[in-house]
Amino acid sequence: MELDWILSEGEKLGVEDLSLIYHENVYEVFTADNRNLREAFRSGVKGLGIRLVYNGGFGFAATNMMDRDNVHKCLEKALSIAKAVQPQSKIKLAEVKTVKGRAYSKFEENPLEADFEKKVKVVLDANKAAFNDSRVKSASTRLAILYDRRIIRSISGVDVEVKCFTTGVSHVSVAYEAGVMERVSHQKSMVAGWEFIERNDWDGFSSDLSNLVCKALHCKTPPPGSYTVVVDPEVVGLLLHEALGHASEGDLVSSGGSILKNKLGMKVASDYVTIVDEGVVEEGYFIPYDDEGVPKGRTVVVENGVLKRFLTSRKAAVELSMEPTGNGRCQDFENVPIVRQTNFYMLPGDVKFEELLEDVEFGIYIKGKGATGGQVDPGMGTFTFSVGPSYMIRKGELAEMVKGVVISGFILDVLREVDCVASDLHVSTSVFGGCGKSAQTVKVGDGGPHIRVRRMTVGGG
Amino acid sequence: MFELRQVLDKLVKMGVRDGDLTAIRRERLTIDFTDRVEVCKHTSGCVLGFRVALGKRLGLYLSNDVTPRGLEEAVNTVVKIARVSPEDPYWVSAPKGLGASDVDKVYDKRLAQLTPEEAVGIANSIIDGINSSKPGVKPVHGVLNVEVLERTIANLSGEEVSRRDTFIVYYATAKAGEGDESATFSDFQQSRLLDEVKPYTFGQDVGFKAYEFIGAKVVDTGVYDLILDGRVAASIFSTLLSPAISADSVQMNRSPLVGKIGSEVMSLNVTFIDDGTVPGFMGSRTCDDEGIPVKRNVVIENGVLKSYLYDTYTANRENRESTGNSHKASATSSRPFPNNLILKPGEYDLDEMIEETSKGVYVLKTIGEWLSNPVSGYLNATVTHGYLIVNGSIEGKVKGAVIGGDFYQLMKSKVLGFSKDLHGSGNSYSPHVKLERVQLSGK
Repeated sequence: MELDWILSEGEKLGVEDLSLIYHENVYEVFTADNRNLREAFRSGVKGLGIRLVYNGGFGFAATNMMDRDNVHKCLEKALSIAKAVQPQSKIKLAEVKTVKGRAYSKFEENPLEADFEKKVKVVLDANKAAFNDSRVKSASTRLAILYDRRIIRSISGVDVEVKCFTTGVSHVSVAYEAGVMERVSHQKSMVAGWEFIERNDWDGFSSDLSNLVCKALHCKTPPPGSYTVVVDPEVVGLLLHEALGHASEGDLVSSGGSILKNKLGMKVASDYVTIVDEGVVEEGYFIPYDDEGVPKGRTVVVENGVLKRFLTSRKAAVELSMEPTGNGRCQDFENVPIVRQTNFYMLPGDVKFEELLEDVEFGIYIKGKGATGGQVDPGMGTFTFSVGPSYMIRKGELAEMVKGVVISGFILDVLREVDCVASDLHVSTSVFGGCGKSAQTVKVGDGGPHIRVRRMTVGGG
Repeated sequence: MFELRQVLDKLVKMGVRDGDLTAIRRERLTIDFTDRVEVCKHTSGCVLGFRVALGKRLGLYLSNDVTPRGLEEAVNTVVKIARVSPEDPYWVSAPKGLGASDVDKVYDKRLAQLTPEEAVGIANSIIDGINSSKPGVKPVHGVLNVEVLERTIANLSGEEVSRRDTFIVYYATAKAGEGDESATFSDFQQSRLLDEVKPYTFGQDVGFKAYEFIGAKVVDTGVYDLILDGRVAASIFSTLLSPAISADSVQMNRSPLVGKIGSEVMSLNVTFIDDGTVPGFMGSRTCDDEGIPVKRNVVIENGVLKSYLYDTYTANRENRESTGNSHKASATSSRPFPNNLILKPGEYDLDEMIEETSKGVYVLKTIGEWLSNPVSGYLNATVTHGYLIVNGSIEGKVKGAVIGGDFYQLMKSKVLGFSKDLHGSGNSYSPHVKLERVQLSGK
């Protein structure tokens, strides 16, 4: 993709900053519904986003028409917008040293080139395997493959290319008996090639979910109240990402929308808690550079309970008088990079999972499989999450299954109540969904070890 | 841009006789703001969605490369996908009988021609409104989005239909006070027409509300009469009822309303209509995403379930007509959902509803209601902003209470009445809803 001429044109116009993102995205989804292939879908999308600063004004325009004429019009549009907003705002972006880099995710077999018939067979077989109990009335299975390529260029010398393949399978089983209908859904994805699909037992995956939903059908919901809880890595990841990760995003901090504002250097969690945001992690998403061309290493956000850093883009870095941390990310070429997490997770401790349960007289083991998500107000620190079928803990041992568990509360209260962190670590990502903010969705990873929280509010639901 | 007919001709040359194409041209102006305008962006683009059938073998493909080479590649790819797909026994054919209904106030020329300068002006009005509301109240974040869409649907039977839509949606969050003595409030305004939005008044109202909720208390756990603000109720209906009345969920056995046509599923005073023809509503449109004219559909009448909503595929499965409710994801994959889901209003004023409440909460805002379970019908929502009502008057502000329960039980046995006015959240519209004796989990 020839981009040099756009940078030269921009320089002639007298811009203070100009960066380009060329983006290609191919997405394949195969959907099987109730033993039938419902859809075989592929999309191919590419285009160019132009971001510039002119006399302190910030302009952005994008196009998918890549001929020289249309790209030139796009450049002029970005400039005219920068001029239009210029009286309102003087924007500065942190300097990025000349960065040149090429980074490609690892794979053995290009998943887009794998046999179409093989893909259909995987998704249909997994779907059929879900009907392992007469109570299973509905099952939907999806196989997805994502190819994402980004080229970032700027007049300050950034020249970065990142390519990434992600593959995965998601499934939902619905069971019905005696007037009660229930569903459980889950997904498993990896930054990898076709080999990830071939080496996993997807029939077992869907069949396990059917077993889980049948078991959950008639189990009870725990009475609302405050419990000691052991939280599995999936929920730890969800909780940290939503409730603490967003609050650590520098744009929210500088605008006053974060509960972490003015808390740098202060204790925000118990001593056992260390949380990082890291661009490349085993089983996470692949973000060696952000969409401003800044290398994304490991940012320690919380260390032994003390808040150390906020996440920043080039713009947020200036506003907070910090360095860019490589967290300026955008959904695609039609969007401006804003502060986003990459792989946000808690570091493991040194205790075995069983030891977390040992001295819990009465509590709940909160599980992520089947969770439907959560919502948080980063300005107030409140969160609410709907988690998957979970287990009561009685006298240090796992007891009966419970369903409809909703956890809620104030994130900083919860992190201060963490009194034990296990030595296991599990980070995950998803080829299906992503994290939404300001109408943009980006791929992220999250996770952590099992942890124990002395007190957490559990609502019924 | 390109001629749809030429693309259809290419498909015909490759032996395709059934299917449809959707071309979408989109212009979008977006402004991100805090206490000033941060970013203004303009994007324009087009995508072409293919749904191609070879007998009962289907292929779906979406591309934004509309160069001659890109279109050639798209045609080859989608035909290749269809050739190797297994047959779908329920596929009959792509929709026929394309056309448009007469629907007003779905396209506004002024909105379509809005300049970046004018959009910046609207964002600044919101910011000014918040700043002028109360001392110490500041805008935290907001987004303004103006979207212009032109969609053309053409099938291989030679039919073609187009529609144009404009939208303006913005939201803003304001913060009042600092530290423990602070509160935030977020709200949105949505319209199809520029003249119908009032950004300055909106900003003021968001600012007032943020200020008002400083010092809100967590409500005591207990049983309360609830008045759900129309937009809270609309969002709950959108989450729990919209998927359940989709014929796709019903046919796939994923709806609690399976087999309940003709049954009383809600209280006698509950009537839900789906109507894509209401002037100016967010889901109004002249035709659905398959090009079928939209109409008014009675879904629940006086508590009795009357009909599910259909697109062509689900209608064909039951040998009936589409109800004009196709919504296509990625311009290819169709599922039926409401155009505008509307709960029929009642006869109360909000003030009357409050006056007649001895112990209750007027729920102004919730979070997490969209996490409720449409398959089991279980409602879950966390109240972030509410007014405590004691003996007919508002006695304080509350937050942090969880509403939980079986949605259908609530709508069957707890409904006391509805207000006269309608309030929208996306394409779901509801009056304020009063429910009696509902459990709230607080402190």
